[in-house]
Amino acid sequence: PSYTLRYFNMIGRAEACRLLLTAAKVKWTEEHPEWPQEKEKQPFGHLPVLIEKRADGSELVLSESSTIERFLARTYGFLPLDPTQSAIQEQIRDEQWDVLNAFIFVIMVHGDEDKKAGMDRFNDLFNRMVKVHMGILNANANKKHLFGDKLSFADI
Amino acid sequence: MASTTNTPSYTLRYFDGIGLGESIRLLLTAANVEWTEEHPEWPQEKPNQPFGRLPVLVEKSTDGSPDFVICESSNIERYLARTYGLLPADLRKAALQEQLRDQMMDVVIAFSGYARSISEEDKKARKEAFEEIFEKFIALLTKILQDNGSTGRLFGDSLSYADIAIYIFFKNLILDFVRLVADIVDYAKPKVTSEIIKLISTVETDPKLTKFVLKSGDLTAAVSA
Repeated sequence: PSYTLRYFNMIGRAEACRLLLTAAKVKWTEEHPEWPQEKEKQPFGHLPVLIEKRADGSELVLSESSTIERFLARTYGFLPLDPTQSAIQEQIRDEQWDVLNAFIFVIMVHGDEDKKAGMDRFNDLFNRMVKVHMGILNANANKKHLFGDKLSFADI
Repeated sequence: MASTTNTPSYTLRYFDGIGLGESIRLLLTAANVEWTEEHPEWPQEKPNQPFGRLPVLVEKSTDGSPDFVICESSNIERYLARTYGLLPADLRKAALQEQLRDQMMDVVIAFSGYARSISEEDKKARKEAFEEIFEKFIALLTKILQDNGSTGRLFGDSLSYADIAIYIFFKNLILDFVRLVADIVDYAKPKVTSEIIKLISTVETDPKLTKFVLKSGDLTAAVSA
């Protein structure tokens, strides 16, 4: 199959999707829809959106960056199919976005009180995340990957 | 009903409330496995959790190997749903369900931003942002339910992960979030469509869930009144 990724021309919430498509060595292109003109045309009214075109002509349209990432990672072997092994990697990705969403909240609010409360929460989450990740890296013998000895979903 | 020697048993660590734990409780119930719950002292027990937060799921092994411990509510949900057949093994079909749960979380995050905002300027902007994403979500869910024949199920013809996740979203919104935003039910309840009410009652009357689902409240009654 070949893929089209619709997003903005930035890292944002789509870079992991781009890296997974690249690592999977599939044909893919990118579209940067006019925004907000194209908002209403997207299934959930936001980006990223992934379109998979299969050889039989059928299409799958997915939204939600974390769903898109997991779908590509599972399909192309970057996430184990075994639910137990997969869950250990997925929780790292989910945790990381809790931290990033907390930071995004700080960027978007205007009041000083809102910003301070937001930053306190972000700092707490971020410091904990760094501690956890260092623990996992140190526990993996080769110290170059988070899990196993080749590129995985969690690494990306 | 009794677990075999090969079926694991589970401990859920969470707070005593619906929040991000109730979907997990319903999945454990539907899976028909043995499970218990712990309510850790908070924040004293924070450093004892793998990521410093709740929920945490402990899967107790049956062969003496170490317990399997995972965090992150959506990760726990997907793990149980895949393991116990509430998410299809087909990757594409699973992705169509998972994206709804992720989108639901976007709506909850928008609500949370609104509930947390302090200045008048932010409160107004965040209220508008929440209402926009919420109303779009309602329209999307209603369409999916209609496309599936208005049977009260989002996908297929039996209880699915997506049904549970969306049911819990409305349960939080209607029965719990009033403590965060006083007029949320006045705003949200009239917008709940008849298709969604049917989803709610289909979940609450599913034989796999009936022994547990109403313990946290009768949502069908609350949205129909």
